[in-house]
Amino acid sequence: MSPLLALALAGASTYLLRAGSVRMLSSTEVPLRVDRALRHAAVGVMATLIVTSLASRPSIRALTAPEVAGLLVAVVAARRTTNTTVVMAAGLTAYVIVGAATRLL
Amino acid sequence: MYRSRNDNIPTATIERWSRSNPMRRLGVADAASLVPAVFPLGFALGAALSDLSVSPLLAWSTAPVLVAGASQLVLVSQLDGGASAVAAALAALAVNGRFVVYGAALAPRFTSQPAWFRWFGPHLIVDQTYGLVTNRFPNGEARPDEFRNYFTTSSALLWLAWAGSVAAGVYLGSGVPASVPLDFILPTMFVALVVTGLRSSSEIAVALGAVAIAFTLGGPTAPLIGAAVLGAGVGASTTRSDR
Repeated sequence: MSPLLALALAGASTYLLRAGSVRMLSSTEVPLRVDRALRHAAVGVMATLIVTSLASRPSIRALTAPEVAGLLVAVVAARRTTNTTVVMAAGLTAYVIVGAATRLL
Repeated sequence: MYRSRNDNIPTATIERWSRSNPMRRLGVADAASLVPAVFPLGFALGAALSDLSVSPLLAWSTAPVLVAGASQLVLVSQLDGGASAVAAALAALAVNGRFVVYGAALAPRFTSQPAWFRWFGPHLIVDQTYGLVTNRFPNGEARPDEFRNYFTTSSALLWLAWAGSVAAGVYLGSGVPASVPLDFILPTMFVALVVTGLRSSSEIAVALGAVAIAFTLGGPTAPLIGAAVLGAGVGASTTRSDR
């Protein structure tokens, strides 16, 4: 019972997180300044996830050479194309190649 | 006119289904471009969940119910460690605070939608769907029906891929070859979602600032709050659309 209750509670509360702000703000006219603030806040949150999802966080000095290479190549690719598959493939390829080279050296 | 991110994906069936609705086709194509990243992550998460002492069905159920990998792992780990239902649910909730920001940012696009979509749509707001929607319609320029068709198809496909991959991981175990760089798939996916969508100098500044904050503060939660505050401040002080 307890695991099911936990799942139900977590599911309901996570839904309320998502839907609460949508329901609250979709029924009112959002001022342009607030709209820009929200969109920029979301950009910041997603950019943060790049770092927090890295295996070697939390320190920039802990970044490995394959991670630096993979991130740089992915960023360059992302500025040149909007195709997310290409961006991920480029970053992962650089990560694997530099990782292999590092192990050989 | 909108162009597809990945024109190779649609099969004949999907083509027939989406022929009358270009937004559905775009939604499928854009979401399909992320499936190669989502699937191994879901599989690995499912394999990790299967190592814990909760039932496989409950472990898998977190995927369609929560649709958020980190909080799924937190919830099941807490239960595995003997936490109470309320404590486990609160721990999972704490990981998902960013959905408030995503929901608030997308709220204007839900204004003129039918009731079923305003109630059901938010459940499918995740990092990937938020990134796809804001990259595809950066200024919210889609009509309500266009946004609804795009969001519904792209998020439904990602939801299916997530639920399916977690199920495969839970029931088939850890079968991902060691050569697959699982650790680095998530960062590259976020780079793809964030950087391809940066269209103004203020957004680039916020993204760079957020990365600097994340490296400075460390940990999973404080950087998210710091980046949200930074982004909101920069966005509010931006005096023009800047796109």
